[in-house]
Amino acid sequence: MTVLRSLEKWLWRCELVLVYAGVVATIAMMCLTSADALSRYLLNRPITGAYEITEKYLMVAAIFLGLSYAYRGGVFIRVTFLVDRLPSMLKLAANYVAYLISLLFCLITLVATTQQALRALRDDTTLSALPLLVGPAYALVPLGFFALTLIMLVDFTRIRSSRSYLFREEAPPA
Amino acid sequence: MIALPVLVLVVALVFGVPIAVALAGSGMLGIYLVTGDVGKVMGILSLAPFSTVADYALTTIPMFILMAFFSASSGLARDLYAAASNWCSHIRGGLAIATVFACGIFGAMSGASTAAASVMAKIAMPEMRRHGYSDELAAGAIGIGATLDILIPPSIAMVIYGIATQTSIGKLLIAGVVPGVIAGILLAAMVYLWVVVSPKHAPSTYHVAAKERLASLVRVWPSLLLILLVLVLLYTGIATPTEVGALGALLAGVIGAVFGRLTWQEAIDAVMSTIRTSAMIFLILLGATIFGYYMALSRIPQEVVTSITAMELNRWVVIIGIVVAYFVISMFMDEIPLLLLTLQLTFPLITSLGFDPIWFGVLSMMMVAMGLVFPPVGLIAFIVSATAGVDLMKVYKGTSILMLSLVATTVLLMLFPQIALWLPATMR
Repeated sequence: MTVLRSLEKWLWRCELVLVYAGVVATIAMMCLTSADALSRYLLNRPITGAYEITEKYLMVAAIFLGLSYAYRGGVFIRVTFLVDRLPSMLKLAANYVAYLISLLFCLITLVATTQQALRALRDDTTLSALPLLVGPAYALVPLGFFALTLIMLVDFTRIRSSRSYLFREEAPPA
Repeated sequence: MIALPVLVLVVALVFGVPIAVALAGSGMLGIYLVTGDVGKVMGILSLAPFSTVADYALTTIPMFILMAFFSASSGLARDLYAAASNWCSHIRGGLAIATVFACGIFGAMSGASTAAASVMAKIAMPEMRRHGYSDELAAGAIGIGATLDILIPPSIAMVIYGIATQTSIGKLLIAGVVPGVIAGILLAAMVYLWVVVSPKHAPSTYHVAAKERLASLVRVWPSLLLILLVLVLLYTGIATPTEVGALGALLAGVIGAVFGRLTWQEAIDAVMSTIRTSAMIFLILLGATIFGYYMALSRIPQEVVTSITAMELNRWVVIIGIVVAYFVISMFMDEIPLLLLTLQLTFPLITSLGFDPIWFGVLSMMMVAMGLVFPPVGLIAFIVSATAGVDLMKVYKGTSILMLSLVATTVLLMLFPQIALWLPATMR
């Protein structure tokens, strides 16, 4: 139990690092896109590479690096109309099945995207406007899924007590 | 056999498998059944997450969400409500009408109706209660008023529709303006009619001094500036929807900071909430993309279109069938998964029958808006109930009565498609 708690503490620290990287990426995306628009319309000088950096790096970082943090806030929305009306034992069984399917999906995606990231890292392709390699951007995807899979594994112990993050009602989107 | 994944999807959704996972899983099964090659499934899965997210047009989603969170955190909604209530308080049911107007105007700064519902429930509900308004009327006005946000730009659901159907996002967003305004006016009229028929729901009116009214109007200028920026940039096409989102978010943040209403910590929290909400949307988008590969490989949409065309049904019968289906599904599902799930089938059908994709976009938003406040699920009804501390049945009673305004707007939209199509047609 202590090991699990230490692991969770360590995971939380890692998640914070990842989500703050996501915060930086989101703010950078807002500033870069605004600056590019203003520069293009007011000075007729777009910022070189803004489009590609936003698309290939900032967007990918903002979404995937925040996955595990988002998981704690109820990132996976579900249709619970029937499940909520099931007897408690059946509901628990349905929750376990939903959890296992979700975990399996994350694991398969982690494997598939890691293979793709390794291929991309071996490749010398750069952004068309800047001499910046595209490969590292691909690596952000499995990084996010790795953190998500880890927190999902730790979350297994909470399913029985219905405290799993997977079944947390999502806070209302904006 | 080829339709088995669709059955798997429905069963998985009903038994509570997360929507994104159900879509992706049944899509992967479908791709395997069509191609018989696990390597192809893994190939698609290895590329889909990156290619789904690394798309410049999709940047619009987090930017509009960020704009909404900054606007909500900056207290702009409170100013709007104060101004609207000062100007409407002398009318019977005026505070409920003010709530409707404030929701509509806040909708022009925020991308989704759930934000308006939670913000307005916090601000407007105590005021209406203080003046003796019934919970049914107050919660109904907040709930239905919040659904206007799905029509009025910037609407995240509209952006999702545009991305899923490859329809011009700028034109879609602008197309929602007139139906949104009509729905708002009809809703205000419906509130008035309700309190005239049954005065006990809004017993008191009060007068606010002209000086105070004007002062409250002056306080909303930052909100109006933000709205003007969004609408003008979208309508003129000077900036792309993505750039409008980024500039809007930046301006909302600057307004909050300059007026001392948005602290550094609140701004970081807003960005973190943006990441969480965006991740939720993009996971569903990823699932829908994988399911879309299966749909394309299996040619199911084309088969559906061929079968329905062969039936030689009147196209209005088909659209009414789709409208009813949307309404029913939206009672159980949020707007974004609903759109991503259904559009792969309905959109080819709609376009093959000669309906305008922009008009259908607005029409589907109306359906989704109604489902958001209608029992048995109704996400917005839940939010209003939880935030305002009102019994859910009272919320449903209020929203069910006031929903007639949305029904009337939908009928008008079907009879006169130009309501939605006129404004985008005047764009450059």
